[in-house]
Amino acid sequence: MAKRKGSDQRKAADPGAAQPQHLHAHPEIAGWGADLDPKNRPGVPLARTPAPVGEAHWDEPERQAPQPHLVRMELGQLTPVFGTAQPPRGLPGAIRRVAYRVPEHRARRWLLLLAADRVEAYGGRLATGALVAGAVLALWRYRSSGRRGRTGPARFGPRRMARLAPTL
Amino acid sequence: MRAVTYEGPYRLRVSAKPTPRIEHPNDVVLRVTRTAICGSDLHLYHGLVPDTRRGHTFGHEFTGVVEEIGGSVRSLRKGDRVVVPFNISCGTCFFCSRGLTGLCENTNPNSEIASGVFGYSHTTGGYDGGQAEYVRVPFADVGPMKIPEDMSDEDVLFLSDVFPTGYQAAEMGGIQAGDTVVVFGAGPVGLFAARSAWLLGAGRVIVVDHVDYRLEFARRFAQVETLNFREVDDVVLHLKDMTAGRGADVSIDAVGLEADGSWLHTALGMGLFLEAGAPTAIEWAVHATRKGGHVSIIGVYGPPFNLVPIGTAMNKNLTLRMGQCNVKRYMPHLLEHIRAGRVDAKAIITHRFPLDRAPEAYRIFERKEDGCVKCVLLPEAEPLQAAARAAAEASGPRSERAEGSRGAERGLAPRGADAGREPLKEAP
Repeated sequence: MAKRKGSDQRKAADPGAAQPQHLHAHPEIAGWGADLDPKNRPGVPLARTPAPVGEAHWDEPERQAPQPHLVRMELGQLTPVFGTAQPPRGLPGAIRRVAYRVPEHRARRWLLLLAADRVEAYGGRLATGALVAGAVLALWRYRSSGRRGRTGPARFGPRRMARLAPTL
Repeated sequence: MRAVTYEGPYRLRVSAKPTPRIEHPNDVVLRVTRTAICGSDLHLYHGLVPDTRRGHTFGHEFTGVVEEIGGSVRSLRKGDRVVVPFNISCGTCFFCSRGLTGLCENTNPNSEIASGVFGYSHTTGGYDGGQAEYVRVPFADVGPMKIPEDMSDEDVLFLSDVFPTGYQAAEMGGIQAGDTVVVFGAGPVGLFAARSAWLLGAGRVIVVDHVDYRLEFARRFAQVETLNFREVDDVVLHLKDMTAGRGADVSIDAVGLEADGSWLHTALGMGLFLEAGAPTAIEWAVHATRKGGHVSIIGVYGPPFNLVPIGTAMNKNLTLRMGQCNVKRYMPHLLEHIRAGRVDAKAIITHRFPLDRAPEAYRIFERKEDGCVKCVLLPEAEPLQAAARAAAEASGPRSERAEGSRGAERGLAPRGADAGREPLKEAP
């Protein structure tokens, strides 16, 4: 479809025109205006008079048992509850530890965290690749030494290794 | 248990993880019955949210059945069906007690920018999410809401996030009777924002996107006018022409940081990381709103900064409101809208998949294939006790073990009836 140009659009518009067809109720739409009165809006006012939410029956929540978890530098201690998934480890964990020493309003904190994410994601794949390469090399050496030591057909020739490599 | 795990940008798999356990006296463990893929999960999937660790399980929209219960839980019992807000909130801190549960200061030791959130990286506390067979839910006396007997899990599933989020977006716009509201983004949150604008008394609602099938869906689901921004030369001029030259009374950004429509923002934000994603929808909203109007930002953005026309907003006397949804305060109210038939929340579900096919579901949702608006995953796990019995039986004679189930434990193959199953698709 050809794009409509802005100038054509402006010609078509009539700034003085009222829009009466849109300024009335819409009884054909289920629930139209059910929450027109601000009293019916759960988020008005934004901040309520302080009161516990739901069935909360504590002033200060109990603290979860501490576990390895990075904490933003402004806090100094864990919050009463926290997630226990994927504790920091390895090189990405070390980068994240550095990042968590930087205040949140510094861009480098977030860039370090993104860098750690990429190291973790792509480092894992590199490590797998290195393992495969190491295994193929070991087999090659084994094959070479075996050939020197006997006269029969080699167990691991280049073709066999090429077939084997993807399965590693 | 089986769970969807993140392996790096654009890489997910279903793998075996330890079943979650009670770690705090007010925890419960849920057996997940329905869990949805949210548009904001795609930001994680694309590797755009800092501190998203390998092995993390996404999922912050879910319903489930209480399987295990902590010692101090008073309001729930084993077997209760619940829907859970995506915010994890203590219920009594400075913010929670004022109704701002999305800002709880007792659940996220990693960052100040949000409360704890299920399955949304370590930037929101490092909680594994609900795209799994089981999930740990902290502060069970605060967040979860029991599902009424007369309602199904899918009736209320979207009270966990997208319906309250869309409603809060409309509410933050301060809509008055007869207002013209422009919603940028025809995804699930945009659809619910548009639908909520009618509840709040809007006179006219226009949804802007560039995906035709989603605009068609918006016309049917929310009875709105639509605008495909790729079919006009200048979306802001076009919107002004549609609104007597002044602009909309209220604009809602329901897109977030992965917006299309501006090569400059896409290059700076998505390619070079010189800003935190592409704030194209904010820019359009500021320009397309009339002087003195309201701009509501509910699309997700992250740190550290974005290039937005703040000078224009200031000089036009715009009111900018934004924020993560405080889901808990909206749940009872919106439940009544669903029960009264004013909003059919589950009508946005277009695809259902078994959990094992979650990576495929993500691909379809991300690429906007097959008319996809909302994907729901069905973990179909057994109750924990039954699962324990089955495990005990399976650990008997070695020859009796099913090869398929061992494969499934490793996350290598779909289980039983799920193997080879086609997507459980419903016509929109």
